[in-house]
Amino acid sequence: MGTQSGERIARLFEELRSADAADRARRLDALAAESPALAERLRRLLAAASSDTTDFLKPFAPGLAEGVGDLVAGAMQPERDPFIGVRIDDFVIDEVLAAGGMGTVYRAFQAAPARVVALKVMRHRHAGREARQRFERESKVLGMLSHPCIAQVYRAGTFIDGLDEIPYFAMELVQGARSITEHCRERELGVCERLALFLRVASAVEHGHANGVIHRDLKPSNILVDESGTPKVIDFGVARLTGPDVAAASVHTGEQRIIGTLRYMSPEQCAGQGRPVDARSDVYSLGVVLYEMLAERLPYDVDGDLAHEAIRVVHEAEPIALSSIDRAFRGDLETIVQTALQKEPSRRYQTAAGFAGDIERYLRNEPIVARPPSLRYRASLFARRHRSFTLASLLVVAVSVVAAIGSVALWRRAVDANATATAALNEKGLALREAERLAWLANIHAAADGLRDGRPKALRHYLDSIPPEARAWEWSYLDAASDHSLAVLRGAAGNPTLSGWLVGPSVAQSPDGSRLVSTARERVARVWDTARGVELFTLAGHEDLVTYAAFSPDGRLIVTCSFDGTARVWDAQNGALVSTYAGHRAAPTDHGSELRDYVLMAAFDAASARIVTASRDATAHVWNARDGAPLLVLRGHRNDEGTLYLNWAEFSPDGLTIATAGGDGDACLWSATSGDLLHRLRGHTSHVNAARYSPDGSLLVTASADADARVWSVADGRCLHVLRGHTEYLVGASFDPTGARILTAANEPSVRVWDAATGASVATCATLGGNVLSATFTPDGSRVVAGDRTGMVHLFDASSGRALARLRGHVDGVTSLATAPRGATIASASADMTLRLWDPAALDEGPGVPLGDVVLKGHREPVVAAAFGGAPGNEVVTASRDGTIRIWNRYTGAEEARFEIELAPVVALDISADGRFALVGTPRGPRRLWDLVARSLVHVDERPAPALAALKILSVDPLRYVIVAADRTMLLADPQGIAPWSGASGVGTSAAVWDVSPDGARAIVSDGRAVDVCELANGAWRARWPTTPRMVDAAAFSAGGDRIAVGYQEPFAEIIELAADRRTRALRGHEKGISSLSFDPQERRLASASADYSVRLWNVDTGDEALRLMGHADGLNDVAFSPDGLALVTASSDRTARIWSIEPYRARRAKAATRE
Amino acid sequence: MPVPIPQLLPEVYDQLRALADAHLRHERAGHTLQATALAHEAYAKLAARPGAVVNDERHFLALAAQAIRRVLVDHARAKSRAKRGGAALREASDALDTVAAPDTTDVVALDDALEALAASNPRQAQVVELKYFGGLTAEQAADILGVTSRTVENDWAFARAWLRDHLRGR
Repeated sequence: MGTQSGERIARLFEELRSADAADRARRLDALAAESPALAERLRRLLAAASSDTTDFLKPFAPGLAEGVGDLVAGAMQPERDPFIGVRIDDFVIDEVLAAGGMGTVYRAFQAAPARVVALKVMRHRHAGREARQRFERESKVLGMLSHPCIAQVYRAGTFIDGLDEIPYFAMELVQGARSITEHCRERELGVCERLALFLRVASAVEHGHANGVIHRDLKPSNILVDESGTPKVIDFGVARLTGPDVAAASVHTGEQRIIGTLRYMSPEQCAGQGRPVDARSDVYSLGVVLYEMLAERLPYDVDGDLAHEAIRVVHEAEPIALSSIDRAFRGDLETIVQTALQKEPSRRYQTAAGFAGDIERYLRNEPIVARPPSLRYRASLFARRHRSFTLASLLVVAVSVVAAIGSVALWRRAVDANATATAALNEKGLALREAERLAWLANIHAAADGLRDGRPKALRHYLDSIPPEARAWEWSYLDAASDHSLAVLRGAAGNPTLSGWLVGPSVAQSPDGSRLVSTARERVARVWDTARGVELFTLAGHEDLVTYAAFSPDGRLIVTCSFDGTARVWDAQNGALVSTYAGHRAAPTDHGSELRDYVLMAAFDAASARIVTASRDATAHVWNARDGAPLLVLRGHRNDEGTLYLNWAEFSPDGLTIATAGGDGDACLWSATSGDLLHRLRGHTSHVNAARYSPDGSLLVTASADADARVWSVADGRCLHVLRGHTEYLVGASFDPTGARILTAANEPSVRVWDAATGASVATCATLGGNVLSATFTPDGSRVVAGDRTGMVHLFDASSGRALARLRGHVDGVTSLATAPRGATIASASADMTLRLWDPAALDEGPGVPLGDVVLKGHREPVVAAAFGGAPGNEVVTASRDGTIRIWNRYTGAEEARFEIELAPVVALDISADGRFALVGTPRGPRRLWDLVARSLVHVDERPAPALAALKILSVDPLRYVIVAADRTMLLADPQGIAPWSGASGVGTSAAVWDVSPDGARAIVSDGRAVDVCELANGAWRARWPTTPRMVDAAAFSAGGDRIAVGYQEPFAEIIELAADRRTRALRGHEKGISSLSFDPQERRLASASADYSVRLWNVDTGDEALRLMGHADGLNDVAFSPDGLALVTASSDRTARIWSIEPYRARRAKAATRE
Repeated sequence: MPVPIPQLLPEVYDQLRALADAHLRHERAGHTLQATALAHEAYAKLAARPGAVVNDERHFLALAAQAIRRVLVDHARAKSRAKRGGAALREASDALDTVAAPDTTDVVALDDALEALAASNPRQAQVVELKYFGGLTAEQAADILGVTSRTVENDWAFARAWLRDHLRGR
């Protein structure tokens, strides 16, 4: 049914509804004659209307959206405040100190007594008599609060504004105010000074409590320190007076405000309805403040964008231990803060005075009252957290079908683990360790899931949740996999809390790529040195948020645009202000007053002499870059209601025309010399976000919210092509440097490439998930770069749309991407408030240094062995049944050298301890010793020997080695001969050696019934650790030689401590037998390779599976850590070997470059 | 191609939350919708609109209503998915109970019905979004849509009848 017939039915319905019954029946009959179906439809609708009840579709929150609109209107015009100069009772309002949505704080003068006050006018209106009475009653109490560290409330009253009765507070103005945390930081106070300062705050809060007033909104921005160093608690009880628990954001401090109140709220406050809020809620908030004063960070990692997560964390997470931030906080101080931060109010200090008392005792070195939380309590808290973790993983299941199997398995594991933890409660001491162990397990698995499922934010969150002492190889592997950037630029960049409408962080590169300029929701732009990754200077002077910054084509100037209505030009070398253009401020706005004269963007002409700016006032202005002198005003975009703004303006390459894109749905072409409107480009049905010239200036592409892009002839304004294919609004479009192709980006998970000449679709580049926020061509036009909402930066082939690289690093939307014509990197800005640099040539899988694991491809048969060896630290060696030994570059995966053995499979490979020599054996042929560095054959041992299964080098010069025969017997080969090894005990004939200790003195031996470590010199051997019925298939010494790991044909491995003579850990998890084992050099992790296609990493201390490495397409035959511990190599029957590294891409790339 | 992407402030979120909190507590005490979560999610939806230049307050009201609708519908959908997902998933649905439909209306069915209505009568469907989800008055809706409030009242009556009929016919 189309909208036309829909409209008709609606019209008929209305006519019939208002008609009387007889008339209605008559008309329905008449209609039925014309169209029975239509008449029947209307009868049904009328019947439905008559059975309507008032409850149906009753709005559940009247005025919700409206209230939001009020807030926004307030946020949009803080300076043009209607109350300036107004008299309220005996206060005269002077100026705005700060404005938030719930209220505005003014500086005001009082006549008698004569003083300057802070006057807070609430946006919230009184609804009804009851509310007013409560306000009056409680505001009297506030006036009675009198404490040197409470900002005195002089008066709370209401005044009439139009029909509204508006509450206000007149308060003591805190001179030179800064937040308490800021004060601590700036003055670099010592711990004792901080505690003393805090004691005064606690005493102020206690004073409020004694008078029956709960603060309810204690946070650093409500605890100010004045010029004299006196702390002042402001807004005492204001939260309650104005209704909701989240009080008006307190706004004295301006800078450095904390995002939300949530982080300081007690669990019972976060819970919302139902749970009583009392003095102990303030104790909790004070605890958070003290924590932040001491640790200079918050006790939890609360993710600002995930409501459920934030609330969950406050409810369930244990605070990060103070002592883990600084060992100095160990002991009583940590216990004190922990006590204040207890989830259960009854477990906290019951009063602020009690809290303060323990701090005083601590300062006097007396025993404190609080006790560290009991093990049982901590374990039960853990259990609660853990339950919630399983819930979180289940929620993931609900949204991600792909993730189902893994997460459910993990859930089962977690449930089992939880039962274990509960059972362990009875064993003192064990419970805590168990809890910590399970927390680690939950976090590391959730992090791995985050990587697998492409959720960078979750990956980062869970990695950061793991305490530093619990971080080992698997942590570093996931950490490296989470960051593919070449550099991260963080500084003071970004203040997410200033008032006003915001734009996403942006970045631009200088033409030679040596510098960046960035904007990030603050009043300055920042200029960075790209090569060194450091901030050079800030461009400061704008009076409101800077929204946009760009370099001039000659690289000498930078233009910035701001919400303050000006654009400014700066010297790119030293940051000096060159000119200011305020013409948009002066331009009369044709529309309502709520629209501001924001300058949205600016562009230079090719000569870097003129600038055109696009503004919310729907005009574009042309002015002189050097002196800011106005040249032209381009006025002509239609001023339809609510569409009054210009999104884009730019000069044509020859500087003769200007293109603009407007909210009216038009693009316009103007003469850049006369300002005359040359062509109005009509066709889009919604606002146009960008208008970009082709490099030769003959074409223009426009991107619109109507989901189309259009290509226009600049000469005559004709629409040549409509680029149709996107289904969501376009955020931008641009030509490639040759002008042959056009890139379009829309709010959907793909970008598109088009042929500029024909308008035909060339490629669709899919992000496989996140909607695109920004996109650009690389300077050579061969690749497309796109940044998405999840934080991923994608590189695509511009011709095929094939994904070449998925670059991880940002943990929030990539709002801006920039390349430079002569630059070597791509720069990105993200809502995570970092800038990152990327390698435009990066490839997921090489050639070159791949972003991910290095896959060694080339063998034509299964790879049986792999090890680090060859050029020191740079190469790996593999042996295959295809009869070759190959040497590969460890970083690029390139094959460096190949030794053809003979037409026989290589079954045995051993590398000397120094990595230089390889001993290679085939089932029946001679053994060969190769010098991997010299790439030469050193020795061929042609002496007869039984069919062999493995070789172990004992020494190279003279060459001594162990032959493990296929029949599981063992022989020793040295220059004197090859002889069956038999120990003093004489058991040797049926035993096999699995590994030789690092010092070459001992071997791990098994005879099918038991395993033992014996001295090679005398062969002393006994059946020490029985293994039946299992068959040993792998064994390895640790680097120190004091523990071994044994793997079996069954999916089971174990760790044995030699000194303690104990089998300590049973490792279960593989689905098939174990083929190889390797300890990392630090002996914290054991890697096991299995026929189940996976490598698993085990925690040597606990026996838990720390990480599963998947990627091979067939069973694994070998695994080995590199001597430096930075990588693992695996050999698989899928004919490849792989290198899994914990070095991030930038480190591997740098090493590969220096060693070439 | 750097295109300005306006985003809402976290601070506006705070206030949005406070507002929702106040409204829900006062207007409909005891129901299961958790104001915190609603406001936060609505804010996230609003902030997650790249390139969506918010023209003015009216435009914003429309966006806010749309965001509130999406939040409620998404949660209702997630909940019903969880309910179908067997014992393990049912546990998860308990967590989502804190964000349930505001009243007995089946939000998912309503959302589907609204989509269907929008195909034939887009303006009438938007009236429902503005009034039901956004809690706006007929006058405000009229202002946003650029029609008279009488038209909005008529649209409202029609849409209610249409939706009742549609939901009953399922």
